[in-house]
Amino acid sequence: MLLQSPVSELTTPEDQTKQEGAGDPLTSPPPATSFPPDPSGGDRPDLFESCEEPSVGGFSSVPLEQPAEGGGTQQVSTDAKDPPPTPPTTPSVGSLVEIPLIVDTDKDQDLQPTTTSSSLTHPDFTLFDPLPNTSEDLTSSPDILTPPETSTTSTPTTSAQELSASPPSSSALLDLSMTLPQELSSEPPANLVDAPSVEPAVMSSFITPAEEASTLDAAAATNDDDDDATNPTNHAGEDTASSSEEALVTVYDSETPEVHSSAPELDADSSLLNAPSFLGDGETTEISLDDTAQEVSLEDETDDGELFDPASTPKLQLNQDPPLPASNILPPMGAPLTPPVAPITPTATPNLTPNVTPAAPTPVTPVAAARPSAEQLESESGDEFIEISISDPQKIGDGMSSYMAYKVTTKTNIAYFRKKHWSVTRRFSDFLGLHGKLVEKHLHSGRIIPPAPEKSAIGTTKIKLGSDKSSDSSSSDFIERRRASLERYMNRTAAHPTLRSDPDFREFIELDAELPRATQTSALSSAGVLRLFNRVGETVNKMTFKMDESDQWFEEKTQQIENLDAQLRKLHAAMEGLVAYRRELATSTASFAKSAAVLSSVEEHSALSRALHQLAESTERTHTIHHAQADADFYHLSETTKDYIHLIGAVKDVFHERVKTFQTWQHAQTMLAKKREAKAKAELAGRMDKVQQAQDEVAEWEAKVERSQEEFDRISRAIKKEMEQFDIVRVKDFKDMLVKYLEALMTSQQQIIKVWETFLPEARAIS
Amino acid sequence: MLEEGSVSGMSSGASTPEPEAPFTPKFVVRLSDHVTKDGDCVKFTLQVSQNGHTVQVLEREYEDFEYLEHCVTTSQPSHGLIIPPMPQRSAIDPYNAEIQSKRLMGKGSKTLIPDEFHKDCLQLQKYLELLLSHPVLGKSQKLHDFLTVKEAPPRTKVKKGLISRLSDSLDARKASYPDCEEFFQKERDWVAKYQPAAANANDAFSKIICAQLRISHQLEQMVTALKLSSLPNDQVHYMQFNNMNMIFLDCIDTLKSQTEEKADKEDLMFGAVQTLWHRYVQAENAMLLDRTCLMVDYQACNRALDKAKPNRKEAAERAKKEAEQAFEECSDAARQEIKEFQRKRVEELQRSIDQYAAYQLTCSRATLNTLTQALSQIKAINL
Repeated sequence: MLLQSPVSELTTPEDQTKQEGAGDPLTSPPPATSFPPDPSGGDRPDLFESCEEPSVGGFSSVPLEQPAEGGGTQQVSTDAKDPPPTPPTTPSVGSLVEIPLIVDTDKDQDLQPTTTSSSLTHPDFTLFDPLPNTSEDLTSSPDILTPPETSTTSTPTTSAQELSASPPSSSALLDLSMTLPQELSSEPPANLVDAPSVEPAVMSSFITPAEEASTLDAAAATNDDDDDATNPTNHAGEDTASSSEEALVTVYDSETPEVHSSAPELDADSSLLNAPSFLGDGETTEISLDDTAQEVSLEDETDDGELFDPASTPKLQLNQDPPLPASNILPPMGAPLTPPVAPITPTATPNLTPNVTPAAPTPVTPVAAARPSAEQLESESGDEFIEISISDPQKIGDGMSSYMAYKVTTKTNIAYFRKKHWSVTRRFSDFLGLHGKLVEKHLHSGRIIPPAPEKSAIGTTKIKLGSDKSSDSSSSDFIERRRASLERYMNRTAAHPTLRSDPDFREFIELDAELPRATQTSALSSAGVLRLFNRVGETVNKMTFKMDESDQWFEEKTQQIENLDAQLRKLHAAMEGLVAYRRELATSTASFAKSAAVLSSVEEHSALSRALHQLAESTERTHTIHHAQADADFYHLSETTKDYIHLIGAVKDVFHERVKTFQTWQHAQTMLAKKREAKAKAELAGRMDKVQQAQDEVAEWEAKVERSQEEFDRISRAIKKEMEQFDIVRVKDFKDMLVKYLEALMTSQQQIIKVWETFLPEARAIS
Repeated sequence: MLEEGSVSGMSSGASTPEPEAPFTPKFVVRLSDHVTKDGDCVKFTLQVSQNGHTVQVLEREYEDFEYLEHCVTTSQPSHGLIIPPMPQRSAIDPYNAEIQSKRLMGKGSKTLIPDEFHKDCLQLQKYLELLLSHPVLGKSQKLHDFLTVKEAPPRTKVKKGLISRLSDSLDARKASYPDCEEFFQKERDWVAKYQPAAANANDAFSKIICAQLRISHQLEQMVTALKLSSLPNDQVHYMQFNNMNMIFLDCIDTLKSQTEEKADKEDLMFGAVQTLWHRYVQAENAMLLDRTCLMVDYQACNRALDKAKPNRKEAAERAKKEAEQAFEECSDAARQEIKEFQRKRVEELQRSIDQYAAYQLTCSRATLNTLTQALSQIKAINL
């Protein structure tokens, strides 16, 4: 950690030299080939040794962390910087000459095994590690097949090494046997990436290679913090997962988490880059990749694994992306510099180039494999409890820019939360933002996401414009109502085992800092308009597309939900009326109490006057009771019913999501049919070139059909399960509601009895 | 009033009551709930009994009561008497009933309150009782005829003409004249203060009743909504849900009828009494005004006598004497009346307050009982 950060900082000032230095060997073949002989000659023995004799024991026991980070990260950074300085062919030598001292030292150090930590002690020098390494590898790779081996054992050191090493391996089939273990060793870390990738920082590191070095460090740093903060279990899970799987990797595992987070990254890179090299028999390696990914995700088990598998698979797909350019370029062999560059660029844009064809099986399997684990988790959550309360609504700021902040206090015994009891401050739009995130992530997997309270433009504006000490009852009512609905919303979300372990949810309730402003929530923003459009589109879709339901269960359930919706609305209307009239009763009781008091003051007969006075007091007391009862009616009955109306809306959304999946499936099927037809036509026409293409397309669509069907089945299963849970919770909520409401009614009746019990003897005493 | 009725039954032997002894009504009238309605014509059945024996069973319409009131108030010098107020006619035709319903249940309500003849009966009965128990009016031959003659007397439409209304408004201006007697002045001041206060209280109370009626109406709607929301009985938790739903539904239904009944009873027990006495106070006010008019006349006669020329002196003297006599008689009667009236008023109001409170208690206890049962039933369902 400590070492890393300086390094990362150092990279920036020396970008200049680095670019020159690094750019040279890679971009310009002549210096590379001319230089290397010495280092490679000196280096190769080391590498050989490392791979052949001490590969496991000696090498891995070397403090890997330092080389891994020092050398590795910088390597990456230099790699990253490679593309920009395109063809500085001639100055390369000059630049090297300009700094001969450094180069020398580099060479010295690199004559020693590249992986030793010596380089790290002088961060400055390590910057130049890449130089000899890459150059040496570049030269060595074309010659012999072994380099891959060396690169595997020294994986932590450099990714560039592998970059350069991979091209040869792809050319030689012999490698396969050798590289497979290497793959294995590099894969678990690759999967480890999954976990860190939860952190946005790491994710971003994939986006721009130029920032990779720094972000890697940052990621490692943040990983450390955040991982510990948000998902300590993750780490444990990963550790055990990787250690149990790979003996080779156990060495890393025993190290500090830093190594994990950074090394995996590198390895991931390396594996990514390696992948293309095995294109020749690509299948085997790819499968091995997938398998491990799956296993890890299985063992990872926390939802991150599941959630981010899709995220990680794109990376795997990426690997397969380069093949085309790589294989194209590789044959020439004379220009070994281009290939390393080529694989890098795909890493630079991992998400932008989602390759479809080879990725076909990958996205489905990990998800399917991860599902049982998630379900398991759900069923396990029997004696866990989490209780969120929202308090202290506060107005922050002035005028229209002001907002309400709430204190979110959580009490829990769930292990993955750091504390048992804590609180954070959140504003209203944060809640909406959280809901948006959850919907985005979980809706497509068929989860019923409790809806957040609605935004009320009128209510908020009133509060915003109102004075600070607004004793205005309507606005305080509004705030209290909103507070209560937020509390119900949070508890409902927390009650869902999957949703409560979502990193966004956990961040929301745990992170003791302001969340990034949720901009998507404002009704008037562009996002709001867009959302409106989407909603209109969805509604049209809902109305126009009539799905011929194959599943009886869904048919019944849809009908049931519709009925329930109508019933609840009716019930809610009645309850609203009840609340309104109960309030009316309270106010008219109050006014009667007042007029009775007036009457008693007018009354001349003293006994009657006293009796009237007593009556006034008693009715005054019943007035407060009626008022409390109206509140109870509202909060226990009306609001719960309203919540359920909204929840039904969420259920409908989920059902609609399923219909959409069904549509995709149908579409894929029709497309497949078309493609098949096209293929048949082509075959009939005897145009073999087209047949091949058609065959590919058919395969593609077959895969798509399979995938969407699986997706559809999965969402259907998920919804059934969710609905079962929903029904159970609903019945439970209903009972809770009834019990609470009846108790509230009873309390008010008891209070009324008390009032009149005290009244009667007094009144009789008077008369 | 019922007590007085029973009292009359016991002291039936005294056929001619002495003026000093408390006046006992000659008849006891009971309006049975048997009411026939034929279009706009509603016939009430009166059961008249004397000394514990039923003397007559008659049918009377509201218009007959109106005519009776007219006769009773005009047939004899009624100066200084507080005439019991005639109950207001309740809405019989659909149009008025709708207006009435909307007033009570809220504008959006579509329910029509059904005819509530039992209320009318009770009020008319009360009116007759008040008339019969009145020391002067109770002796009225017209009243006795009304109660004993099978055929209702031919009635003439009683209409207040323009002239009489005009004279009424002229009389009203005399209300500001200071009274010569402190007792009456105090009474007039009191009435002036009491009337608006009582009106307010009545309004507020009727609002309470309205709110309760509306609540019961909403509860009914809730019951219908709940009835719809039962689920198919094919799963365990659905069955539990249905069970709870049924219990809650029953509970709400009971609450609904309890609330409705409570509103009804409260209205009769307290609201009606308040309204009656409020109107009775208005009658007292009318009486006081009448007396003030007499007083003003008397004073005018006095002044006229002072200024009268010798040749007119005699006539003035006579006029003054007449006025004085009328005024004196009125004052004497009024003094008696007011005392009696106040005694009765306090007694009845106090009793109604007492009843009201006691009824609140019983209602709340009943509700609590219902709730406790429902709650224990629901709690017994294990999820």
